[in-house]
Amino acid sequence: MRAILRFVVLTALRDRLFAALAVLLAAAAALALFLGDAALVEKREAAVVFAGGAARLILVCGLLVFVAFHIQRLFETREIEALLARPIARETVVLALWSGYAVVAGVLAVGVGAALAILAPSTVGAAAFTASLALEGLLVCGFTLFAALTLERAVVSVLAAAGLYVMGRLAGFFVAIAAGRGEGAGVMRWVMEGIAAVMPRLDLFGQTRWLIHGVSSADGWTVMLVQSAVYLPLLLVAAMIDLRRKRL
Amino acid sequence: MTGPLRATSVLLGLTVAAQVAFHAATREVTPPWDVLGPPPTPAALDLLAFGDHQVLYRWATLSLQNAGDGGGRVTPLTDYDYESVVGWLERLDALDPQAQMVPALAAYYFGQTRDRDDLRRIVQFLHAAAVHDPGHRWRYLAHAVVMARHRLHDLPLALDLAHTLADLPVADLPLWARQMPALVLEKMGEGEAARTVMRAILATVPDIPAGERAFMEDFINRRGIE
Repeated sequence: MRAILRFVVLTALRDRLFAALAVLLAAAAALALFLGDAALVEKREAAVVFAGGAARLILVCGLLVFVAFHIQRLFETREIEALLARPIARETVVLALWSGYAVVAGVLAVGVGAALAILAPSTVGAAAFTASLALEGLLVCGFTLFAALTLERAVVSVLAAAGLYVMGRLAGFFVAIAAGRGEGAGVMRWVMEGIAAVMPRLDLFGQTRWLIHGVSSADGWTVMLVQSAVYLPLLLVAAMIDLRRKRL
Repeated sequence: MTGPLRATSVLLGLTVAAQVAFHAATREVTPPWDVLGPPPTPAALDLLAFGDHQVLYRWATLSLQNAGDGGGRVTPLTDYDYESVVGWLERLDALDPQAQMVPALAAYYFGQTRDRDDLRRIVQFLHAAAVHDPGHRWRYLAHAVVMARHRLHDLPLALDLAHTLADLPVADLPLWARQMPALVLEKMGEGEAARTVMRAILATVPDIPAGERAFMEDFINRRGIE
């Protein structure tokens, strides 16, 4: 398992994932500072929020693309068969691959958090945002791994995982509609309820307001942790079942 | 030039000509370029927030600040629909009631309008924003008092706002904010009432600096009479 984990991290280094995302994040930070400076007041707050929001988007896109193309390459080069030929269970392979991606996501999230901590008015808020970003990264790796193992092709995997991510970030909106607080009625409300029931509540993750106002007891840390603890095993077990059913 | 290449070149020429003709036919069809559209509903804001209302708040307030001043044009404040402006301010303020950006935008930017009806809407917005979170936003009520007194010349409104400001439950409210009702009353010619307010402050506020005390005593003894 450690070998696979090391293999994933080395692949990320070889693919220059860290370097490419560092350049993108630096460019996003520069743009955020520029935009923040255009604000009438609270320039620092605006800049740090733009930087945090952009960093999350870059991190998620980077992970989506990396995981999807890495798995496609495993299938194309038949490395996946070499991995499965070793005396380890298929479940362990899935777990090891995800652990490798999780390490990559964690390193990236810590890097982003360290940069945000310099800018953010609330250091505690920056730490909370970093932890939340890491959790979000773990989930993104989980559902991209599931999509890529199932679909085997990178482009469609990226689209499927990105779709799930978008739906997850809008889950709060669907819940609000299902609860009758927004527009929509009748059948649409039940459709929304159905969507909301199977989507991860990513709207509760990584709030940039923490970077400014800090974290309060009402920010639902427990909800976020429970959501990760529920949804990650769901994704990994689904990926394990799919890999178990494949004839490789 | 070979036959197939000539045919392809002719086809290219025809498609370019078709595109130019299409452009000529549709050049009057332009997107609506309003100064500021109507404010979105709370549900639409939820959708646009994409799970992070703070990013939307910062982005939308920056867009509101620059609305009408992009694409090489500058729009005077008199051309804005202030019903829409205040609608946007209210909706965006609800996204982060702790932040200062929206009330600052109202006080320092949209409050510069010369239209008295529009200014009255801004004063009402500042009043509501300050009362909602007096600890962080009492300054904007002071702005509202100044606008009502010096720009709207509506002294009864200024007095109402000044009383609201002076009575806010804010421990570190500066003395000048507590004195505002007296200053407006003096302007209204209510000398005795103004002196009564100053006396009440002197009697109830502890540790008044010497300079401030001298000003207040001078106000009571001399200015209030004039």
